[in-house]
Amino acid sequence: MKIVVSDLTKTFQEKTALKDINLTVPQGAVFGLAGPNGAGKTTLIKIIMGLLLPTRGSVSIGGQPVRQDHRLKARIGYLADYQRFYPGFKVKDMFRLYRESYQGWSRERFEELRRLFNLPENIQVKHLSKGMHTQLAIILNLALRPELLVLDEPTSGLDPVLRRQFLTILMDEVAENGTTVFISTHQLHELERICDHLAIIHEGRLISSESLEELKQKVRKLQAAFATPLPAEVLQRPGILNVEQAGRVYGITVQDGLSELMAELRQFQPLFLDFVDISLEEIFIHRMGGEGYALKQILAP
Amino acid sequence: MPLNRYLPHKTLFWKDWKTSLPVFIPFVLFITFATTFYLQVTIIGGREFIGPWPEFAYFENRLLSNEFWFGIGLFLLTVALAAVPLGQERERETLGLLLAMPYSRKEILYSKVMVGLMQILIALVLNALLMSLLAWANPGINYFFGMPEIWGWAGHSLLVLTFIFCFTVLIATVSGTTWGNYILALISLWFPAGFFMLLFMSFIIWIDFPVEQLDDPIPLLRLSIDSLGHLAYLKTIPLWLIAFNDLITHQSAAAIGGRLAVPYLYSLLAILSLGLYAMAQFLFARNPLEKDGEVLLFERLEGVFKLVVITCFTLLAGPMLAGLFARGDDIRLFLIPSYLVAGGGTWYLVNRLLLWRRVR
Repeated sequence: MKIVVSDLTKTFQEKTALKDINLTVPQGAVFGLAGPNGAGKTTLIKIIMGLLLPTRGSVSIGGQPVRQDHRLKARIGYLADYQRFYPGFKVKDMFRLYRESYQGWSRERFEELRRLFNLPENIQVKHLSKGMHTQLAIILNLALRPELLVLDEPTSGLDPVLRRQFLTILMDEVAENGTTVFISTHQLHELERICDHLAIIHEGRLISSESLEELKQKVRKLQAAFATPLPAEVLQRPGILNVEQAGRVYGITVQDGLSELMAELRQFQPLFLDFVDISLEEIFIHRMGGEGYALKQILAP
Repeated sequence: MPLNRYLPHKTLFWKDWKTSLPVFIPFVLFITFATTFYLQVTIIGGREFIGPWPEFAYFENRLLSNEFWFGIGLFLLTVALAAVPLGQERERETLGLLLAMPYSRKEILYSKVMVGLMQILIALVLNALLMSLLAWANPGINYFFGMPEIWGWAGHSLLVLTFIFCFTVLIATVSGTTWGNYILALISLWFPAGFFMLLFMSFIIWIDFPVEQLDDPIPLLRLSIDSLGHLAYLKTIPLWLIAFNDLITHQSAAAIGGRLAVPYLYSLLAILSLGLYAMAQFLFARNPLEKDGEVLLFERLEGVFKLVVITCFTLLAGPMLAGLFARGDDIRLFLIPSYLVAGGGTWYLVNRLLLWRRVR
């Protein structure tokens, strides 16, 4: 299911949470949304799910607005940032609520996930830990065989083993059913593992939205060593996102003007000059640094 | 037209029923205590079971003299029956979960209303059946009511409580908290009587009411509360009707010719209830979810809310403050400054309350 966000703006009283967001999530994509705390990720997800009304602009899923379309909602799984269930309900009551609400509910898938997470059924939801809440939400939302999964920080509260397990399940889901996934998380290494598209949002504005491949092609990291130190003006060229220096070895992250930079570097007769792998986390940090964001605050623990 | 078109979604109905049980159970127990119990007392009294238990007669007297409070109790519980389910969905943020599921807002509210009405119906029918059974099983006891009165009471109460329920549902679609729903519903239902009583109270201070009776704030407070109570009991439409929820009062009303007004009044109540429900659906469909937890969900209503609360509190507290400062002097000299102090104080408190909820 394709998601199209057009000219979306959302204000709360005087605060602008989202400003002129334009975004397209292609059908079958695993689309990651990254951004620091308070960037507007949850607000964007809530508007996509029809839970909040935009101040301006529109959102459509499969060509339809979702807010009042319960047929469309039946094809969407949603994991909120904090899982809220009826505290007086037992786990089996929640299963019943979902099973009877979604026509696409798959008993086989449900049994498979229930065995995997081994969640007790006769326990009241209010007695579950945060991680178990997330597990319950995962079971409920994957058992309904969604065509679109909207996930807001889905792995928060999960231990590393469960986190890995969840990502594997998610990738299986995509491989088996071609489910479109829209996922927001701070865990950039997770996004790198599963996403094929990435959008970065900061202070309510969309900084970039492109495929991971494009992004990694666009942002490159060079490693070079020189016999003499490089003049400062070389390292201050426009398009350079970051320079790391250890003695006469330089790590240069560059977004634009790569060929010109390489030509210039060659003039200084490098001892070696090559591309090195750059992680999504590094791209994110350098891009956000370019937006004036304090780098230390970018990554959540 | 198929009937099942009007039935709520069965899963939502089951979910709403289950989540509203903590309010429904006290509700049904209260009705049973306040109505059926009286019949049991009569039956036991008729069989002369009072003898070995002297406190019983006293208790019976207390019961009979408190029919007004039974009416009020039933009123308060009915307001809770409507205020709690939607308020709790908002406060626990489960409304977000529900709205992401394949249900329209209309279905969600409809199910809650149907569950509430079903609970009122069950409580009333259960009690009417119980009373009928008791009356049937104990022939020869001198009741002053019979089967028609028992079932008449159930039907009457159903209409009145439906009106109060629908009114509170409407309030619950504009308020973001359970207490907000509850208090705003109470204020709005009492407001017509309360407001005119407060105006009247201020008015009598300016005319020929004995001033010496007004310069002590405590009697003045009692006077205003008593007057509010009486006025609410007799004149406010919903409370006037609630007062007849008690079987005995219902019987007396019928005896003094209350039956004459009944068809018009009941038709009006049914139409009003439907109108209130339609308005609630209209507002719920436009609910901005992000303001959950605030006293008022719609910013445009804040001005009206402040005006109503400030006016009422100024009218209530103004004369009391004047009485406190007058100390034997003419209270009228202190009245206007007291109104200003009371109005200013209330304005400050209302703003702080709204801000406090917003920050939370």
